[in-house]
Amino acid sequence: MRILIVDDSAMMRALIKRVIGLTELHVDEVVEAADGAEALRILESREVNLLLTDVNMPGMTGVELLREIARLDRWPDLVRVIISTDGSASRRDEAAELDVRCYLEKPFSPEVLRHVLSQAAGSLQS
Amino acid sequence: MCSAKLPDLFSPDVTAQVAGAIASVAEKSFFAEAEPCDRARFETLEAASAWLVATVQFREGACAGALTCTVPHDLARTLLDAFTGRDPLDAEPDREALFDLVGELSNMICGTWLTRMATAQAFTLSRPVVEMVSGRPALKSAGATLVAVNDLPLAVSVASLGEDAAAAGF
Amino acid sequence: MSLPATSRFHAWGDPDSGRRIIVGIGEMAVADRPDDVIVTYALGSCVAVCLFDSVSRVAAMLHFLLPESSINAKRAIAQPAAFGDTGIPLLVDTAVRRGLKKSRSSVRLVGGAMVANNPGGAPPTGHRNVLAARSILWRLGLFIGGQDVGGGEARTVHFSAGDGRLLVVSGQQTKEM
Repeated sequence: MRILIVDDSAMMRALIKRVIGLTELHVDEVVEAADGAEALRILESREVNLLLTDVNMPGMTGVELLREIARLDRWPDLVRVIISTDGSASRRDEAAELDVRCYLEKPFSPEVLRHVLSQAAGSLQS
Repeated sequence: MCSAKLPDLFSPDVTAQVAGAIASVAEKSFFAEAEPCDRARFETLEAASAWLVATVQFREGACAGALTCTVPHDLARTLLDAFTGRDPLDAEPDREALFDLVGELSNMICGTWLTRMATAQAFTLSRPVVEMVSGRPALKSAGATLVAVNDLPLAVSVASLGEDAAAAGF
Repeated sequence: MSLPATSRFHAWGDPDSGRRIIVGIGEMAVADRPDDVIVTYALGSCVAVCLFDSVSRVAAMLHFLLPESSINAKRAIAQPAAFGDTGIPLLVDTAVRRGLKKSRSSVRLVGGAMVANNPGGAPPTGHRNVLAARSILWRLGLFIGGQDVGGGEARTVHFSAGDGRLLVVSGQQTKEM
């Protein structure tokens, strides 16, 4: 499994990457991007199975990224997860329309992230 | 139009709500305890000479504002170690890492507060702008939320940028 | 889950069926016999950290009093298990040397209550102890699988090395974790 983490905070990407490393998930590679545009370039260059994206980022936001992924319709099996400080009902509804499998609100404990990763990875197998 | 739940940003309720957001972020992501304190106690809390100040602008409907988080260097270092799981005895993290961490801290406090206040309405946050200043910075807002995080000072203030700023975007 | 009073302690450290290893305040123990039960009493603001590896069947428990050893360096040298920051790494190291593997271990926390005699409105030690335990376990790369913390009552914990079950007694209530 290849996982793509998209967040403009290097610290947040490092934390997520550490939790992934501590789980029992069989992960071949973890790739990082600091904004939506970089994430799209990565998606177009290699196969990614699980996308973990923030929402509020400079340039292309997480929602714009997900809209573009939906528009291009090139990665139907990509499991999409949002990790964001925005827990509003409106944002969650928007995420549901964009085929987001899990929505994790910041701040979160490592255990909660682990649980979300496990659920998302389970989606990949089904 | 702002969400009906976004209140007067200078009301005492806001201070309590921001304090709640700080406590939630401190505990979940940094395993730290944030206790509200009054100004007298805040001024006596020991802190390093260098402070980091992070400002994140937010837009919620037609309302725009900015949340500023003021943190002494030693608390920023402690929070970085806790967040990443670094050993506190490891070498001093670089400036970029500290700035990133304080920016993300302000981002999470702002987002948590807005989610609780507005609940239904989505919001947008700008990328935090972080600077380091020497000496304890004067707190601009009389309504700043003052907390002791593991007995070190942390202040958060919220200011309105008005509807023109909201319309203009960031 | 509550257990009927008559069955509460059957096979939980009955002297006829296994060893009871008592862990006092500022102490720790590692057990690797299937009929061992580690017991700690009167967990008020203190926190018990319980590790269990279901494959090697190693069980380890620490009962620590305060989060940071910096407040009493002398005591930390003499009794590292009294503090979270010295006791938890020691617990993990000791358990690993006895065959526990971190990646397959469960971790549970018990205790951290707000006790009535908290002096002069000082920050509640129980809560700080819980936060300290979480922070140190994260630093050590361990996830917490369950916890029974907070509240206002002291707890007693019985920890079975055979199957990793925890029995937590608090007031009139008994809970299995």
